[in-house]
Amino acid sequence: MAKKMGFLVNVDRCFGCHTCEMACKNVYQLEPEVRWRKVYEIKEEYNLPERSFMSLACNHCEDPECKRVCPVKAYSIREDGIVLQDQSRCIGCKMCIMACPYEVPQFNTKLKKVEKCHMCFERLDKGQETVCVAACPAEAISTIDLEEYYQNGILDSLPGFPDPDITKPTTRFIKPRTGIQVRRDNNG
Amino acid sequence: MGEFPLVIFTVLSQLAVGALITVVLLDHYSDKIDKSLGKKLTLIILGATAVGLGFSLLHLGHPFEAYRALANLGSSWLSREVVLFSVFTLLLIAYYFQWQKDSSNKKIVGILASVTGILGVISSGMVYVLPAVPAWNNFSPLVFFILTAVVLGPLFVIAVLKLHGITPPSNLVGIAGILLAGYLLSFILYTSVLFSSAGASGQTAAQMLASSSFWLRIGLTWLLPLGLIFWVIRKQTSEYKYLAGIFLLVFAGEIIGRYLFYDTAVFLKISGF
Amino acid sequence: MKQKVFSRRSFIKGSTAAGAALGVSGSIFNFMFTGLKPVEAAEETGKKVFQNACPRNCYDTCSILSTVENGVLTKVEGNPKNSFTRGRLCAKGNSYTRSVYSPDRIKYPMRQKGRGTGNWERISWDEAYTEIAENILRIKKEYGSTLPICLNKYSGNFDILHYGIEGMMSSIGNTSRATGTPCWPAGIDSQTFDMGTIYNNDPEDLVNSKYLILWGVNPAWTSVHSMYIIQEAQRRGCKIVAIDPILTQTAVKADLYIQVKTSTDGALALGMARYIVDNELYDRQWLENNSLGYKEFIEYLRDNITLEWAADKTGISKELIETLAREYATAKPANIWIGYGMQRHTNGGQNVRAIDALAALTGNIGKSGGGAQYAQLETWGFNYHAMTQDKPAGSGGSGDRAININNFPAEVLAASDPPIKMLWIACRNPISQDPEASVSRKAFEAMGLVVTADLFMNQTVEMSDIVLPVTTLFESPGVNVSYWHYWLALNEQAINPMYEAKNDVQIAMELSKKLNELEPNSSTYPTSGDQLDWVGKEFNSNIYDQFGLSDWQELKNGPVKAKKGLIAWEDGKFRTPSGKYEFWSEEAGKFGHFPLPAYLEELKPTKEYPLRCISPHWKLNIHSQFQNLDWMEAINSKPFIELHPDTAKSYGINDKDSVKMYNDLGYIIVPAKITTSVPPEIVVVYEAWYKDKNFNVNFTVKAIPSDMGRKATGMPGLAFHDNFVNITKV
Repeated sequence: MAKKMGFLVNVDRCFGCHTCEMACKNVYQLEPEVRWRKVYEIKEEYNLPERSFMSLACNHCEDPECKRVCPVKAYSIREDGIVLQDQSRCIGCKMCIMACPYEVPQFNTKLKKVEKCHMCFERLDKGQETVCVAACPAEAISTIDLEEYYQNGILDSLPGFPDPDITKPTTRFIKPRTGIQVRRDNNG
Repeated sequence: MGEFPLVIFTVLSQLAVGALITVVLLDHYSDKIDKSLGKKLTLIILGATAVGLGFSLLHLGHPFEAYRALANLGSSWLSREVVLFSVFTLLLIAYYFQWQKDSSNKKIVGILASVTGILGVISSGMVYVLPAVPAWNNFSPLVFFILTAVVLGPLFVIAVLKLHGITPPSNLVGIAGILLAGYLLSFILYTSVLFSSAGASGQTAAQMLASSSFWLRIGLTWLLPLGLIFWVIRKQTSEYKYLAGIFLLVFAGEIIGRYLFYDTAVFLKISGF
Repeated sequence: MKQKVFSRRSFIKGSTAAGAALGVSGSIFNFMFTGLKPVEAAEETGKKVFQNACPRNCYDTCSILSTVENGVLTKVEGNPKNSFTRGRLCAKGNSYTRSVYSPDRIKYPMRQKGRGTGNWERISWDEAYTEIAENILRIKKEYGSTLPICLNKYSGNFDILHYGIEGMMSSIGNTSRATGTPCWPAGIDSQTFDMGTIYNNDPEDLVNSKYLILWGVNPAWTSVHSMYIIQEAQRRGCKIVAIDPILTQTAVKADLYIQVKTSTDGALALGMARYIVDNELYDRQWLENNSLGYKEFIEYLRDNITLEWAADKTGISKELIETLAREYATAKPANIWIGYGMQRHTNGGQNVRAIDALAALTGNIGKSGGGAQYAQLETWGFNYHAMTQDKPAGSGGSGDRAININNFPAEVLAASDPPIKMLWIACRNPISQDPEASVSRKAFEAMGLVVTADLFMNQTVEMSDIVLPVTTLFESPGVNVSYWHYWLALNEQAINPMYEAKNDVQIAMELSKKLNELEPNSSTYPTSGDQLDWVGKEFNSNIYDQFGLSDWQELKNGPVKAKKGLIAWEDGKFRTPSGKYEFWSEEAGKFGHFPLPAYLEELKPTKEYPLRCISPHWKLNIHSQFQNLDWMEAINSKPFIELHPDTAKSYGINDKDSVKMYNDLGYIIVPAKITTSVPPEIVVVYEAWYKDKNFNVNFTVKAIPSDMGRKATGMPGLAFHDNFVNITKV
């Protein structure tokens, strides 16, 4: 059976240090404004507004909008589910940027082309971890084969994550636990 | 004004399609357009289309590779839009020569071009039907793009006819007025639906209403032109300055409206608003 | 060292495999080299990996592997040989290629016509040396000594070779020196009084704890590798307790977070101690064998401390203090990590002593999984060859003159006989990072010459006459250790210096040459020498023994960890005068402190300035480094003030509103960030240097000394977090 690769983001382990996205930038030498992976604050729940994070790169959707709208067929899905963008085809129309619900494709103003996370497919093919997975000090990110992997409590969405029904992302989440907090305000 | 090229492209291409349909219909139902005017109108329409397409290239990172946008007809409305407007342009050229030759196929070519143009406008609309932009993810881009075509087109042709000393058919101004009023009603309906919805759509409506351009647009596209049309019909006048004024007001309103369309669209955002 | 030796065959093999895997065209790989020169052909690609070490003022001092292709640093990675950093870096470490290739780097020596004018002109190194040397010699002639020359150098680069800057000063005679440390001196003195020095367990040993109190420390932001170990301990069943006035990123990951009132940590510790004593939960055996004065301490507790008092002081209920004390005293082993933030108060030193006392009372010191962790200097036994230079014959003055680093500008202005006329700034950005930023500017304005060696055009450079471009850690060799973990790493030169940048030791050598040209024997600093040899000269038999090395060159294979001394005080031989853990410290008495860990009243806000401003570390910088890079700006590009919703409401402030925070010293204007992570009586502004922004929280911070620091560091510390302010919406 074909693989279905996705990122598993353990929000319980993640402490929002941004190492994943900076390691990605470092290895692929991205332009300053381009971020293939981004660490987002989860704002709406857990009573801890800015202290829980979602580290997101491309969600390598089963039904990618980028691929649907791209007029030059720059996007393709590998057998293992990784969504690749062939930058040599890109003409910089930015349709994918508009269509992706997850702000994934980004415009490189120097090349005037779009680029995005490719799940370090080369590294995966060599049996290595993706850059973000290898770099995360908390070991909060992993890549999983959704066809094989099963664990209780795995979520396909978190507060603030746009509706997964649109494109069927392969990213999965483990939500954070909260300890006891004794605060001196009335909200604690 | 990041999307300025797209504003120009969409409004001009829609104006062209609407104008062509008007010319084809007038040619069929009246004798107001003679050969020289027919050629002239077709050339202007062709020019507007070409300028629009030219602007659309400026939107691209690599304009000279635009031809490759034909690659994904299977699923990309942008590919389809490119094909349809390319064919539309070719048919316009053919239409011009039909006028030139007084060919009996003129009507067929005109109808073919009109249908292609309408399909082109529809595909322009479909480009923006995106789940990632809730305010667009419905019939509205389609409906409003078609309305732009059918409102601007006749008003434009009316003005050109009058410029050449030809009084447009009396009911044409009325039809344009009715279309414009219909446009206003559907716009009010759309805005109020947006306004009452939550999330990105509600945000879009809020941004629109907060923008002074929005109110300018309401005045330019609808209130002033509708008033003028009413007045023109009431007074039974067809002075050029009024007819041209109506067109220019609506045209300016549409440019602002299209700018707002892009500018106030709120995309789905991670971590909410 | 920089020859292209990477196997050509393996590179070609790699690229072929990658192309095949993609199955489309190879050109997708173009993006990999955007921002760098594209690789023309595989044959030209020489690729080599170098050993580096992050020299920043940070617990983690990561071991780095740097990949260099065609002389270009193309990426950095953590070195998996280091079991503390585990092959991982932090966000800052991963931004290093951008530091090296930042368009903002200072590229050549420059002279400014009028400090602060921005009217810079490029000069040659020779012109720079000449002007500086002539100035030094003129001062020496006029004042009969080089004492009017003052060095302010500290923690921007902790590589051992960088102590060559101090060496350069010694080599010209007696000079004035910024002395002390802004960071951690009160805590150092506390542990020096209690145990003889600072000495923490190997942080990798944290996983063996059953109970861990993180007391005023935020490793999720300041020591990400320790945070992993803490979470690993948690997974193994250790209860994690965070005590902090701020609900930090670390605190939300704890099993229990306790929001203590700022600067009352000592009251909490003493309250806990009282409960432990009352309930006989202390380790009498350990105390008998290993401590001095514990009976006096118990007596002090019984006479002066009640749980009701502690509850009232700290804002924490009596029941919770009891629970905490019972849990801590009964879990074995139990550990406390004492942060530097909590000792930046006028009673910070006493508070740390009170916390140390908890660890001693419960017999947790000297044990794996136990202890009162603060820092260590056990691995810092280098020769300091670069630093140790003879003074030239006939140097005026009787020795160097200490200028308090923590009240630097005021003391520079006040210095007389002789006054201070020239500043040399290296590895520091004092105008951004020191308190009383406006006084700093005045002090700079009063100088005859200010020379700053730096990478970027920061506020200190802006107020200098001459700026000298320096190398990054990848452009010159060195050797690094941590004040926390027990690894030793070589820092190899991976690339040639960029532009006209020079390393500090090289600058010292060349300046020395110029001085001796103009006036023979005016500087003793060697005028030549291979820097890597200089690295070798830092080693001695003690280090070899401690790290199990027979030669320092073995470090070219990777970092090594100390082979012994990993559990602090395991042998029970404390380095106090009595050789025991000293609850009663005569030494403390000599420095004017109460000999026992006693409560010293905390500073309280005033009516005029009712809010306390805490200015802790931010996750994307270390002091004034990193946040200026565009890679960081892509994540966060502006400073802000954190306000509790209740506080914001009472001042009529909404999220993102512009807020003026002020006191009698100065003000800043920043947008509000409303958050429940701060308590209502506190506002938080992270200290940082943002490029092209007139932001500096130190406009409002007074140079108030903390209670301790003089014994071990020569000067008291700074009560950075006893800064009282008011706010208003603007």
